Amino acid sequence: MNKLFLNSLKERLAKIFKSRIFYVGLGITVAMTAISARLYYLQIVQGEQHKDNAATINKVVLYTETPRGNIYDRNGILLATNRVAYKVQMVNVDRDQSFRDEMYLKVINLLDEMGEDYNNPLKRYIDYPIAWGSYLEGEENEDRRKAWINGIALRKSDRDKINTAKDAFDYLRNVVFKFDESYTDEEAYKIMILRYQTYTMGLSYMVPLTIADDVSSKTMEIIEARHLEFPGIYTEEVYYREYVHDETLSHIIGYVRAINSEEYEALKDQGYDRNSLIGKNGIERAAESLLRGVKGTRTVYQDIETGIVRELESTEPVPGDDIYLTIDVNLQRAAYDALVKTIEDIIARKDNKKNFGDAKAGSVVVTDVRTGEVLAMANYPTYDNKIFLAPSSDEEAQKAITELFQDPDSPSLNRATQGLYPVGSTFKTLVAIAALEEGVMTPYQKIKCLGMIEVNNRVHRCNAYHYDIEMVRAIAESCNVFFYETGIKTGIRNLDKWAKAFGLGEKTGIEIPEYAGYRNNEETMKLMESDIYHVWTPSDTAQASIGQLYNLFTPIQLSNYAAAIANGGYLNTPHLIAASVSNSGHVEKYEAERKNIGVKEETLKVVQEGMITMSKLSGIAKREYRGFPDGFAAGKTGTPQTGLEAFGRSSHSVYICYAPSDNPEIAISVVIEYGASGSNSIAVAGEVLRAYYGDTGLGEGLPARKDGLGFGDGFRNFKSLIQG
Amino acid sequence: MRFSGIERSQRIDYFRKFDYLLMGVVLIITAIGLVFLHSAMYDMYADNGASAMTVQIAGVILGIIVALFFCFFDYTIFRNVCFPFYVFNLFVMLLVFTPIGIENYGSRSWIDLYVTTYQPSELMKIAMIILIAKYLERINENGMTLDSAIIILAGFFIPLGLVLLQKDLGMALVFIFIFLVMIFVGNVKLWQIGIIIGGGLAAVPFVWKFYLNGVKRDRFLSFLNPDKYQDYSLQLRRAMTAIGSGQLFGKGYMQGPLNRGRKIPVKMSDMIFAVICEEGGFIAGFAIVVLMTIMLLRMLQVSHRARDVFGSCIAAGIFAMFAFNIFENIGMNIGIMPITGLPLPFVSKGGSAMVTNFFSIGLLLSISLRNKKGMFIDD
Repeated sequence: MNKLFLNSLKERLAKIFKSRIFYVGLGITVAMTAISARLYYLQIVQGEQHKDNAATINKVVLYTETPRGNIYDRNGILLATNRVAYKVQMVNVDRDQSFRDEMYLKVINLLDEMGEDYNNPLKRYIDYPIAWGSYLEGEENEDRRKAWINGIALRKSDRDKINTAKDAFDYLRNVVFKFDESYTDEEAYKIMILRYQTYTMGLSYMVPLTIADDVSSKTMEIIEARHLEFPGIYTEEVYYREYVHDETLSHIIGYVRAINSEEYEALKDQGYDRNSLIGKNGIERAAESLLRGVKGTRTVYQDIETGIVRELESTEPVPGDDIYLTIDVNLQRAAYDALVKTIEDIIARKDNKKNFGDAKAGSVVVTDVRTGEVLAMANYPTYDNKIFLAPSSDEEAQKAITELFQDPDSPSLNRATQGLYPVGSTFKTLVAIAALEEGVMTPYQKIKCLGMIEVNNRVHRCNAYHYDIEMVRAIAESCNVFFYETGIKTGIRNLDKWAKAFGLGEKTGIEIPEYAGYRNNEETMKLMESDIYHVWTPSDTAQASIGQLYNLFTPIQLSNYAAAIANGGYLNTPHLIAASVSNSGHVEKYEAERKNIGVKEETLKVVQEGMITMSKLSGIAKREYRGFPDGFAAGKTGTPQTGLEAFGRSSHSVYICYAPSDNPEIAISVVIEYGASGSNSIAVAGEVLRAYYGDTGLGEGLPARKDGLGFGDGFRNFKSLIQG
Repeated sequence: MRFSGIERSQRIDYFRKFDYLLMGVVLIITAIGLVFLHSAMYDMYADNGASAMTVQIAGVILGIIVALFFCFFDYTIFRNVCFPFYVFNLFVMLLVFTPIGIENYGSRSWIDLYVTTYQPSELMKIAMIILIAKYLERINENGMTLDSAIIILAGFFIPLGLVLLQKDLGMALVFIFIFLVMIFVGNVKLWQIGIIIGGGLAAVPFVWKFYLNGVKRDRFLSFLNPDKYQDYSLQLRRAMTAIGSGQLFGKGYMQGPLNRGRKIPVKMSDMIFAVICEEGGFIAGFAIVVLMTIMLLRMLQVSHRARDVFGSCIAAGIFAMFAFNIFENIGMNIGIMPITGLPLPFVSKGGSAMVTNFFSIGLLLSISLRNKKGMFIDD
């Protein structure tokens, strides 16, 4: 029996192993075992961990605001800071609806009492006293009204019953929100301001609804003190940017504004959200990463089983770094005032021969020749950057912004770095340098000027008959013929090379937006549509040698060029940020790069001598530099022609200088659009020098400046801060 | 005439030979399924969940009737009607490309029957199984002939092509798996199977490049690296969190926070297993796996004991259909298979699928009733 059974079992097993179905069954058994093992792993081994994950599946990261860094001038004078205000926020806390309605009424009443603004999206649709809001009122908005009514109607049949604003209000009050009947219409409207928001946007347990964006600390204190009456309502500190400087600094400081979608896409990984403010211009933009700081985060979650909101983790906000500029606000103010006054003077001296009274804009840049620090950078016209800080609801400010960008005089343009100007005779010093360095001229070589010269059958004129003239005098008297010939001898390629070496037509590397400009050379000529088939001739070189033709440079390039002549041939990188001070007190001092151009000292001596001689010879320079020793400032004027002089437009006015001529400290460039004559700009430089040397005994007869650059208390404090 | 099939065979004691085990397991699974579907759809009853539940229950009742009805039929009559049945289903499948076709989750594979929606590929599978079974039997009897081979291959590739055109990748995989299991069980020579598999593998690069591209591929691969494909793997991560958080005993029936909080996407169909495991824990999940395994092994036993190759192949095909659905569905819930959108048989929402599933069980019961006597068990 037993044996028979074993045999039959053997037979069966053999059959089974031969059967293909057996292997299919084996396969499915293995597969299902794998599933069971995985299930065991997920639920038993990893169960605890998944349980925690499940609990925090409703996770939200909330950001806490951090103040943006302050901006100071070099003496520690505050220019940009933040106003601390409070936001009133609300999250859902389970309470019955009648309690909530009562609470809403109390909150709105409190805000009204304190004279605070609060968000009221309902106002667009229904205003109080009950009437259609601005979005829905009027005959022409019939369709919008219909759409909105369709939106609030709970049943289709109710739509026809709502015709007037009062109908809609009553419908919301009685049917949709079911307010207690004892409320007056006014009270009901106040409740509805918040009910309407929670109804349309929902009220989260975690993500707050903002009731008011900007309330005073007094209101904040009252709300916090009465927190038992207002469950779920709390206040949060917010910071609003404030510019406390005058409008002369608007171009430098720039402004912050709401992030746009392109910036958001590029920066969303760096903690920006769609409502972030971001520096859009000037230092606010250049130093954005330093100024903005790091927002704090709070990761909150609602326990999926109990519904309780808990905090998972949080990080403290890090306030942004403070920025100290190289700018001296007093010098800046003086430079601006001088620029404005000079432009007014030029207009007043209108003679309709050379000066048509059309001067209207200009720029002045003051840099330290030793470091490249920009001490002042003023433009006229300018604008008020505070308009960018107004909330989007401030229609007046929004209109002002639109007007600013449409103004034909471009007050928003930072002329100092973005204004491109022909420079006229101020370029002659560069021609002199190139000629000496290339060895085509010696300092004492004379050229005969008979008031004109003919090159390639074209007559090029000079401003006078200089007869035999050598380089120093040619610079001082701005002899065109001398430089026509010198330029042609040097060749346009060499002129271009040396102009580039002195940073003309090149970006200077300053922190704020700037343009490179154009130099006279064949490439630039090719850019001009009218000259595309023109071949470069010596006649063009002659024009280029007196700074005419295509060249367009920025005022910052000009002052940097003057500084390089003054400091023995070092090209600075001009900069505006002197230092940043982090919240923890760490000081980072910024020093700009200096590049040795490689000019021989003798060469610069000749050019410097020419510029000093010009100041000594010029009656206007003597007058404007009154109080300073003779030849204290070395300068060169330029009167680039606009080509429209015959049609009643003045030439431009350009002036570069540095001082003191024996031991240079600062370089100044002045550009006045349609300023008629280069010498007209000397007045601005004179005022700047008086402001700079105000308390040193130089520039006598002027009131001493209390906190002139580098000597004031503020700067000492700042320096000790850096050293400490 | 009506019962001619039965008359040809021996007299059958229906009550004694009825496959109580198979039908019993199926009914237990269906019951568990209904219970958890109620939980999964509870929060949707206000919308149209209630009517969906009605359709589901109606599907179960109708399905049981269909199964019992067909088990009394001799399955061999399908030998004669397999071609018309096949062609009819092909025709219905083409209807999805007409305006009555509906696109769901990216696959255009449903038609609108007003009361419910119907997925023609469901019944197409069975039509294909019967057709292939008939010709596999012929190959077993007469040896491999060219026309049999062509009919089998055409019978497989035509519906496969249509399913691919409907962009229903999961269903295409089911067709492929059915086909492979059937030719294996149908005693096709291993080298011939090797050629077919080789050809299939050769096509993989083309499918990869031209069919499975872009978003489809990312979605398909998201299970391998859920962190990399955050956008596509949400469904998977939620399902795994729900399953894992169920731990041993589960959160309790109707108590699953992720289920209640609507945090599990498509929880009434693709992800119903996650709901079961969240609320019933490892115990319920493992029970489902064991019941499904018993059901599948019993199907294989039916195939093994079938009276003829035709019946054996039909049973193997139906086994393959369920096996792949079950493994793929549970596998994608627990993160070991890509997400393709195959429902869990007898559990997921879907009235027409329920009827089709019971129809195939009816076929199996019919084969089981008419099996050879005493292969494993002397009864």
